[in-house]
Formats: sequence, structure tokens, C-alpha cells
Amino acid sequence: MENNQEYDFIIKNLNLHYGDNHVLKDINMEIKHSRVTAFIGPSGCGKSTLLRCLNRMNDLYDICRIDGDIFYKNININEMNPVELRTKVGMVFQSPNPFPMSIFDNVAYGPRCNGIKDKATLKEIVTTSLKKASLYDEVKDRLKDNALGLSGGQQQRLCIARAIAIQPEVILMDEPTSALDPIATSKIEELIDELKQDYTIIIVTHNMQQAARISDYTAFFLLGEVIEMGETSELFANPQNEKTEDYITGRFG
Amino acid sequence: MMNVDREKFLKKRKLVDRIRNVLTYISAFFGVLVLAAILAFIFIGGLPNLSFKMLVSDYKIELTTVRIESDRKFENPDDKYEYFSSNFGVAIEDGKDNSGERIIVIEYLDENSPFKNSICIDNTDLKDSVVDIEVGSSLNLMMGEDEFGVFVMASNGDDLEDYIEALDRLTKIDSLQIESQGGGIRGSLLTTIILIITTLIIALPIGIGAAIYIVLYAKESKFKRAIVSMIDMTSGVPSIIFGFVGAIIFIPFVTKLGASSGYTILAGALTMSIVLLPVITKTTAESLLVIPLSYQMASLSLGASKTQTVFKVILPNAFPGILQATLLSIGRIIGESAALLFVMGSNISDEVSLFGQSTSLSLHIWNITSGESPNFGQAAAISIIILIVVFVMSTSVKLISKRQLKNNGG
Repeated sequence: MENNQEYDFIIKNLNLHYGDNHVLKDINMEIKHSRVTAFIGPSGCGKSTLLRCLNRMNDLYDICRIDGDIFYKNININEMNPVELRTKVGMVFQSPNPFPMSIFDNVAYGPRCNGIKDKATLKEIVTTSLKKASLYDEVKDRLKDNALGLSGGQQQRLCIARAIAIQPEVILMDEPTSALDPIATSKIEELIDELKQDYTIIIVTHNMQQAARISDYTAFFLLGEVIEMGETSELFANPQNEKTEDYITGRFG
Repeated sequence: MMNVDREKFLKKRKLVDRIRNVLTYISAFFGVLVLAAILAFIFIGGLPNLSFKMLVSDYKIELTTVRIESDRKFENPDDKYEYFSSNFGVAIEDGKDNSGERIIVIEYLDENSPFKNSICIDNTDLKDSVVDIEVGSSLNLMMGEDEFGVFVMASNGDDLEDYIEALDRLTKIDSLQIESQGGGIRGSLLTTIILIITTLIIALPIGIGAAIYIVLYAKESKFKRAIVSMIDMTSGVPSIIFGFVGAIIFIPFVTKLGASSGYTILAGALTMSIVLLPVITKTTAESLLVIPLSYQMASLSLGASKTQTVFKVILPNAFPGILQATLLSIGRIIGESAALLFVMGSNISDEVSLFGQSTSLSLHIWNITSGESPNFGQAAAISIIILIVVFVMSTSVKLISKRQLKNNGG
């Protein structure tokens, strides 16, 4: 705790209820700056829910009740303006969800909503974001085309570009490759590898090999609890908890 | 034994099935027949009276009374015209005005005809000026004295033969009524258009706003449920109830605004807005509900505020639904009569203004068919216009819904 600058997120005693459903139980966790952290675990274990807590997307659900504290760079996120928080903490969703507008407008959406009107600036942001998401070469001649005409993998990279365009510090990814084929998946994984130079990335995944390949830290979730968290190489090679071992060796899940 | 029972059963079933089928066919046939009969009645009665001139001309007949003197005789060119007056150089024929009434019109006018020098005798600004009479002008009551001092009179109720005979007995017409063709629906058509535009300007923002509040902002609560069920209920209330409530509330309101009488298009538009609010709110709310939540999530996750999300992402995607609500509303406004009867009245007027009294097409029909001599021919013609508009509206709603489905699917 003395080295607070090291952590982007510090989660303390977090409990979350959906109505009568106790979804997250007493979560304590630190997320390191400029690293890739993976959340793994079987379906319904609460990993996506925790991810949505980090940029307060759970605010959208009336029946969701959250106790405990989450600190983003030592500020309690409940004291931050959620709109402000989300410009710092971007998000990419499970299935690609570009808006039904042009590729350019999709990427420019975030900056425009945050008050950038100058055309040259917008163009530059769009170009750099698309380049960072390694999509620029594929779409540079058709920035005016509807984004829904892109393939699934391209749409997901567009969503990543869209998230990058608001210049966040953290990018949350909620199973970003689960709707994609293996080739598109490997492209996204390469992309994550490049992006971790500049951003803290938290990724939720079903795929343990993916977590092992791309992450520095891994947290294993089961039934709303964090069973084990540590360096990825350590967790996969030498799990401390029996349940973790059962899961990563494929005995359940 | 079993076999006999089975056969009996099969026979009975065949009979019962046949009876049921025949009943279905008969009811379907009657349904179609009735609809076809109504349409046939309207089209047969209306088509002969339908003309572009009816759409653009005034309802009220304007009368100009003139006097005409002749000092020479005219030739009937090649004896072409059956009813020709050699005294005045005029040929006449039967005609029909916009509402289908028989009138007498000028078929031919010699270029030196004294009709071209007719002098107005009305007590208006036009008095003693030359009145423009041309081919197509319609003639009515004519009075004068012939050379023996006998009083001669004819009107458009007479046969052409009698009229022309009367005309040729005169050399000096003391009084002749020239009529403009009345019976047009220009005023009512214009009123309907203004009514539609004003109503939409009032009702669309309120309805869409209410839908946005209910779907996107209101938290699940008793209050929200109460509002939603209230909207459901009000969409079923007969419009005549809205009509008299509108009469009680809006007519004094519009009078306060400065109109000389409360019976105005504005009062009609306000009342129609209330009638349409539930429809617009419901249709828009339905289209808002089907917009994927993922759009909203994506927008919020990009640091857009909720309001930005609503106006930049959700509303544009709800556009087809809003358009559908608009078209439904237009159809409803055109067809409405009960509610408007209270706040606009059925007085047909050619001078149309938002703060003035005039009437819509539906009430125009009511007006011309409720008097002593109902004019069903023209009513049918106006009905055709209304039917065409409603048909175009419903077809475009269908097309839009189809395209919307396609878009959502692909």
C-alpha cells in the first residue's frame, strides 16, 4: 500500500448484489499500472461484473447494489463523475458493437462527445487510433463507409480504436475475442501485446491459453470470489489453490 | 362393429368439416363484398366529380352583376354553335361546377361581343368598371325588357334553349349575374395541411420526449407503471371526449391568445395533439425499446454523457419508429372529425389562417352532406382524396417497417 503509484486500481471489500443475488463476494485486489491483467473463471463467476464495476457501467442497472470501495489512482470512483471516469477507463465489449454510422464517425464519436470539434484534430485522432488498432491500412480508403459493413474481427478492432480515441489510461476488455474466429482472435491478441506499452489492460476471458499467452497477472474467479491471484506464469505453473489447479488443468469449467 | 362406428364417424366428420369450411368462406366473402361495395360506391360516385380544379378553387360562389347593351347583330361562325345569341355574339353550353351542380357556361364569345363591355352594377368598389367575361364564365339570373317593354327573365335553372331564346329577345340586359365556380375544396385542403403541420409541431416533441423519459430515464416504480398504463388507456378513449374537453380548455385559451373567436385551426391542432400524444408516445417508446443496449453501453463507455447518448445514438436509431408514429398521426388527423367538430366547427371557409375558423376535409364532407340537399357526389370525390392520402401513408409505414426489419436483421 505504500507504493500506491504502482497501482491503477485498488479494490477493497467489494460486494455486489443483483437483487437478491450475491454476485461478488468480498473482493480485494490491486491492478498494476501498465500491465495486462486477466480475469479467468467459469461462466457466471462474476468476472465481467467486476470489470463493469471498474468504469461504473453497473450504474445502468437499477437493481444492482454495490458495497465497498474501488480506488482509481487513489481516488474513490464513487466520488468521481462517472462520465469523467469513463474517459480515463475505456471499454471493449464481448461482441463487436460499432454504431451504425461511418467508420470515421465511430472513432470520432468519443472525442466529439468530449468537446473536440476541430476537423484536423479529429482526423489526426482517428488516423492514429486506427493505426494503433492496426486497422488503418485495411480501411483507409473507406472511412466514410458504414462500420457495419466490416467483418467481425475488423469491427472489434474498430471498437478498440474507438476506445483508444478518447486517450484512456486503462482499457477494459470483456471477452473481446469470444465472438471471433481464430485468425481474428490472434490479430487481437497481437494488438493487445502492442497496446500494453501504453495502456493498463484488464481482460476477461474464458480461454485459459489466451490468458496465459497475453497477460502478466491473472486472477481466478469462482462463484463470485477471487480464489487466487498472482503473476500469470506463477499461477499457471504452480497454482497454490486446489480449485485453481482443477480449473486450469481442465477438471471443470 | 368397430368398422361401422368408424365409418359413421368419418362421414359425420366430413359433414361437420364441410359446414365449417362453407361458413368460413361465406363470412370471408361477405367481408370482402362489403368493403368492395363501399369502395365501388365511393369511386363510382366520386370519380366523375374529381378534378384538379376542385382542389384549387374556392368553395364560396362569387357573384358579379353586370349590365350589357348590344347595338348590332352577330354571325354564328359556320353555324357551329347550337345555342347562339345573334344579338350578343355569345354561345352557351351546359357545364358542371366543382360540386357537380349543373351550370350554364359561355362556350364561345365573338371578339366584338358586347359581353366584353359589360359594366358592373354591384354596390362595391368595382361599380361602373368593366367586368372581364370570358369563355368558361358561368351565367345565372338574367333580367331585362324586350323592345315591346315586356319583362324577360331567365336563370341557370332553365334549359339552354329557353335561356338563349330569352337572351335573343333582349338588346339590353339590365342585370346579369356572372358566377365564379364555387364548391372547391382549396380552403379545406389547406386547412387540413396546416392542421397536420401544427399538430405535429406540437405533439411530436412532447410525445418523443415522454417516450424518452419513460424508456430511458424513469426508474422502475409505481409512478412509471401508472404513467404507462395511463398512456395505454388514453389511446383507447373515443376522440369525441377529447373534443369537448378541448372545447372547454383550448377555445378560451386561444381566445386569450388574441383570436377573435376560439374556433380556430390552432384549437384544432391543440386538441389533435392531445388525441395523438398516446399514439406517438407508444410508437416511439416501442422503437426505443428495440435499440440494442450495446449501443448505449458503447456510447457511455466512451465518456459520452447520458444526454449525448440519447441524442446522438439512440434517437437517430429510433428514427424509423418516429417516422412511423408521424405517418400514423397524419392519417389520424386527416380522418378525425368528431373531436374537430367541437373546436373547429364545420363551417367551410376560403380564407385560411392559424387563428381563423375553417374546416378540415372530413368535416367538409360532413358539411356538404348534412344540409337540405346533400351532395354525395362531391363527398365521394373528397373521400377518394382522403383514401388516397391514407393509402399512401399506410403503404409507406409498411415499407419503412420492412426496411427497419431488414436493417436490424443485417
